[in-house]
Amino acid sequence: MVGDFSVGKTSITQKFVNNVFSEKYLTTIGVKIDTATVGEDKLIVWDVAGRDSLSPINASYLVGASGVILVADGSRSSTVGGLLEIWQTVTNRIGSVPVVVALNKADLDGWQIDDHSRALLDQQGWDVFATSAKDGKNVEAVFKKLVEIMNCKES
Amino acid sequence: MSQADSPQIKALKERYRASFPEKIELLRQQCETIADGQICSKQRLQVNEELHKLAGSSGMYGYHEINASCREIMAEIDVSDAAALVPKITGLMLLLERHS
Amino acid sequence: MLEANLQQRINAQLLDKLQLAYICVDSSMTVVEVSDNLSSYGYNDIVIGANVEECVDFMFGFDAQTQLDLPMVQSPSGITISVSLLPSDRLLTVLISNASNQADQRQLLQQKANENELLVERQEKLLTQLEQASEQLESKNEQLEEASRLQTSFLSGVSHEFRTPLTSIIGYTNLVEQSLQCPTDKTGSDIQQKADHLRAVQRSSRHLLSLVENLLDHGKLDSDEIMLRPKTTNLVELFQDVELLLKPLSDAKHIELTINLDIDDSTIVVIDDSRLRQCLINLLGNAVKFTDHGSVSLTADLSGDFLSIKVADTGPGISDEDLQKIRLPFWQAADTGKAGTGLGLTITERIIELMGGELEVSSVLSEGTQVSFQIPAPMLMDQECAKVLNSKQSLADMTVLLAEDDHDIAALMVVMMAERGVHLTHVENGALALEAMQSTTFDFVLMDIHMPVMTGYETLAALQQANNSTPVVIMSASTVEAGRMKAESLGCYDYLIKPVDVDDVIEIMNHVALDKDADHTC
Repeated sequence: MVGDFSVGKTSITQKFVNNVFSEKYLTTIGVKIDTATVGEDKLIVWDVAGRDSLSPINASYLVGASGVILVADGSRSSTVGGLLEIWQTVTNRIGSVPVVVALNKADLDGWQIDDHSRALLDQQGWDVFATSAKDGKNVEAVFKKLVEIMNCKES
Repeated sequence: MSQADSPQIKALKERYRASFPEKIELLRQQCETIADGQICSKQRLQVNEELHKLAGSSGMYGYHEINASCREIMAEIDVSDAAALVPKITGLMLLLERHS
Repeated sequence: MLEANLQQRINAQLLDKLQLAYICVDSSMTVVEVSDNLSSYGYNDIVIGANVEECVDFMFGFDAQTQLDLPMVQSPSGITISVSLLPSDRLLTVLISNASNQADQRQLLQQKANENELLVERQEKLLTQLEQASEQLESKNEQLEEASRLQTSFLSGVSHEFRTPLTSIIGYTNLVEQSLQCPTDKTGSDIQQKADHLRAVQRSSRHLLSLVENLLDHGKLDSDEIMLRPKTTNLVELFQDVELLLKPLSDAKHIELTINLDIDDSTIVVIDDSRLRQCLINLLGNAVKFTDHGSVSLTADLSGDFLSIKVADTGPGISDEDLQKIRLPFWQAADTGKAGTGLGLTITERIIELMGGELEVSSVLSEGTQVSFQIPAPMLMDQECAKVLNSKQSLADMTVLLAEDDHDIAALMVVMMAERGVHLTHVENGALALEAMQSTTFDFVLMDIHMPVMTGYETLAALQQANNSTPVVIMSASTVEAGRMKAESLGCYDYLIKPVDVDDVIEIMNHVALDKDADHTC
């Protein structure tokens, strides 16, 4: 799970793995690893600390990943643009792996996909989901989709 | 027409004016039925009927103010609630009172 | 030997001090050696011979050649660890150390920095919103100011325009009152003078009414509610009337007002006389208002079934730029110093359009302005004119039915029509009307729409079904155009809006009588 800081990577992960959600913002340090299952597949989820003003994403955490979920905050358009740079980091380190985009915080009033963002995302040809870790919208769907793509790639 | 009214017409006009208290009472009753909160469409129809009759005759007898007031309320009868209609109907009653 | 033991003991102490733990795996990722303290980090299930990917979550996805440093990984025990993967020839050593101090410090720093940045972002958003709101407010303010300005100038224009005819009314009625107070002179000329004064009062009143109608019509302009009511009209009388109305104004300004008519005195046309009067008053009134020297003229001629009218003045003229704007409601040229409502031309244009014509304006600065239009005005031929004048006789011979459920209205109509020589038979609803029409042939029917048992529409439909061609005139309380259209589609002869003017009814009856006579002559 990669993305800018405070976009909801931990919230989505915790919602998916443990079905919990907390409004409190506690920034992730380094990486937190969880396991979950989708169908018959076991997933090791690496919830990586968000990119921020202090530091870029540590590409070491990406090594060995079979897939990536790019997470952005739909109420902060800068985090959507940030996905491109982050994806660049990913592909530089581990090449082009299966990827899905979670446009999080869809429960908020200010959530939107403006034309510019829509164009950016469409250009990449990514699967984009409007997610909400708070009410659970599309959280499972996002992981399921990634698993689907990863399985396809293998076969 | 600037000619004076004939005695017959005078008598008719007087008779019409004398009916105002009765009309005021009818309107008062209408107000009472609709004043308890929600107005159903049947009640709206009833009020509209009364106003329609009054509009017609008042115009004919030269009471243009009353005619206009009726039309104004009729225009709003379908969309306004009791809180908006009752004061207007009361206003109409006062008009009738003034002319009677 | 001793050295090896020492080395081992030092290593063990070091490992202990640094809380270092390790796992050694072979090329197939099978665990071959582990340190004793792994459980302190929560890694409890690691046994020799197990696949490391299955018992250590972060090892999944690596192979024995992976060289990697993973700082600050959360261990199952909750302690933050640093992991280093150190491959060698035969083994991969995974070194784990306690990084919780660093992690805690880092956590504090990062949390603060991130929260700060989020605050700054939110602040920027709010500022932008504030700026937008401020701009919107300013724009609204400007709109309000403009509206207020228009309203003020409109109101002052209205009161100015009303003052003229009102002054005239007050003046002339004063004269009449004065002359009544000295009743000594009862000569014919004195009576004539009083009659003239009263006629002047009438004209001014009609002018006032025209202004009021302008105001009311303005509200109706966009909703297409203005309905034309063509009537038989003596054109020359109408023009003379308008001339007399405006003469005092032009005289006061010492400008010449001429009306040139190429129309016979007895010519009667079918036209909405009050609307035409309204237009003429607007156009001539404007011309007189804006002309300070010279003349204002109206030329009218009737050819075929078309009435052409041209109003010309020797006023200051209108610039090309302003010509575009003058037809806009409320617009008035800023620097003329003339007050008005700014509505006259807009309404006039609309009425002329409705009548089937088009208003044209041309102007030359410093020379004057010309406004012209042409509208259909079908003539009544001479013989028919005579018939109109004579048909009053035949009204008394007509059998007329009145279907009206309101007794007050019916009673008044019966008396008023009787005074005009017309006898009405009254019934209370459509069903009774149909019954009456079956036993008696009526020449003319006046019918209300809103009646119990059977409405006006239903009655019309029944008559249409039965191919009954008796002319039915509807009296409706509704001004909605759809009502008229419905009635017309059901074959009504005419459609009047309540309160009905009995003279309008007489007018229509005259038409009916004419049509009847025409049928007979044919």
